[in-house]
Amino acid sequence: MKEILLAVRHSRWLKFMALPLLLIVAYQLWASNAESPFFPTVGVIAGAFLDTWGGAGFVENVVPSLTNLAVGYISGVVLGLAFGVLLAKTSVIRIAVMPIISFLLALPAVALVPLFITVAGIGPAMSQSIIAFAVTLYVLVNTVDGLVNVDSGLVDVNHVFRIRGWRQIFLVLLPSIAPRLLGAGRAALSLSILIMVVSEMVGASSGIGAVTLLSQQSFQYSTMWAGMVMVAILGIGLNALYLMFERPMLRRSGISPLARTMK
Amino acid sequence: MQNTLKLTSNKWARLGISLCGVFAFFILWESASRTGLLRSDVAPSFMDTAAELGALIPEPQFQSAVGDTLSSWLFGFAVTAGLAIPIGLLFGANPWAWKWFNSTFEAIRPIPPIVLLPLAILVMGSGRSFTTVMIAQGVFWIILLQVTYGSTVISPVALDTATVFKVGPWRRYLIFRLPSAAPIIATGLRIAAGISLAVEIMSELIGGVPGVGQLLIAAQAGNDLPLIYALTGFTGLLGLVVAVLFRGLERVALKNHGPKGGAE
Repeated sequence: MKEILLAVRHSRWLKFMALPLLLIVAYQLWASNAESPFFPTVGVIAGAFLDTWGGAGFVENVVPSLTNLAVGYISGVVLGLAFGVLLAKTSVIRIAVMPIISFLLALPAVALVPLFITVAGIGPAMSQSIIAFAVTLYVLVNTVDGLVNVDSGLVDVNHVFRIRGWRQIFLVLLPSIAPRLLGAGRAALSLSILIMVVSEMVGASSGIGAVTLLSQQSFQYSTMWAGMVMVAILGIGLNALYLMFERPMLRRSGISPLARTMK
Repeated sequence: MQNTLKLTSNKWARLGISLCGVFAFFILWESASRTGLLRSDVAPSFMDTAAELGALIPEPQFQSAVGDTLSSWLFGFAVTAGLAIPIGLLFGANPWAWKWFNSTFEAIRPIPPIVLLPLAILVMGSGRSFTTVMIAQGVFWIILLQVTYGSTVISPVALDTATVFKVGPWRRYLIFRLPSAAPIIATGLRIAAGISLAVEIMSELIGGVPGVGQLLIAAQAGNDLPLIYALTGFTGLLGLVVAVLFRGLERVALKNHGPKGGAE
């Protein structure tokens, strides 16, 4: 008995799952008693999840959503890094454009959805461009802030060893702000998932967000739950995936993940 | 960067360059529209957008929408922060409880703040309790985690001082933990304020909650591009004001974070 308790105490997995499992069990007990159409039991939700997102539903709705997410996110990161490096190198232009960029950053990205729908029409181009726009801004600001505040000792080292141009950017400057960039990339990923779902809910007929909201409007509550579970899983899963890649990259840049979390 | 001009280190010169940048942006926008480089089905000219915004502001319908957005956001944010801060401080004082829930909270945090929307509209309609639940789902974890991390940074010396002077648990909390956590809490609140405003707008866009977001959806349905630009621009101004206010709060928290807090 004592050994089991000890194992429970030391297992990260159990600690991690304790509260969610408790909540799921409590929900199941409550839902099977309440018999409310809004709250189907766990089994019904799981069945609807497989029906909605398995097989044809996967190709029709999950793949396009994830494609939009990937295209928007990756182009946003590339553009953000490129413009960020350019702006960091040119101080006058940087100071001149920063107010506009701060304004666009303060603008809640989801508020751009009506504008982009009107201009780009309903479709993948709309979702992709809003995501790319928001991610670009976010990565750009963090790149500029990081590069401008780079340790002056590092700049001196570059001078002494005559490291210049692209080599300086890719081998010295960007790695030195890697922890910050990786953090920004993670926040931008969360933001992209949110924009993806919101843009599909406002203006799309297919995709994860559209299916979720449409099923709510057509009283198919177990499908709605399947959509909600899907969105939650995407949020948690993509974040976990990102962390898996982030850890080795941080190690390469010479900063242990531990040092970063303590900061 | 090394090759900084002397000009850019002067505060007033920087302000001047910034202002020039904003004006240059407006002029570029206007001239791109006039020369036809920027098609009018993509964006109205700057003057048209500004005129639209100017005409919008005295309208009572617009004013009440802004009032709805702000009051419903502030209410949801205040309720969420009012719950998350004390709970976060409790977790900060209980490392044992924190060990159990820490990883779960970290895992819950990346769930997009829209997850509950379809169900919440269904159960609660599009009233204030709906927006409050949406905002809480979006930023509760952010504030909670930030407060808890913040209250663990208190220096051992400060805690020893509290022990030596036999400070009771409550006063220990109010006099020692809270001030040393204040700057980190303020940062958490600033981040959460921005996200919760976005959640409020999002609830208005999708959930039909009255506010600026609803006007935006109506403008989109009417295909009224100048109005959409004016409303989107106004939302940006709203976001900017909130960001500036909370940055000020953060600065105050940092300034008052004197030696008595003791955290390095």
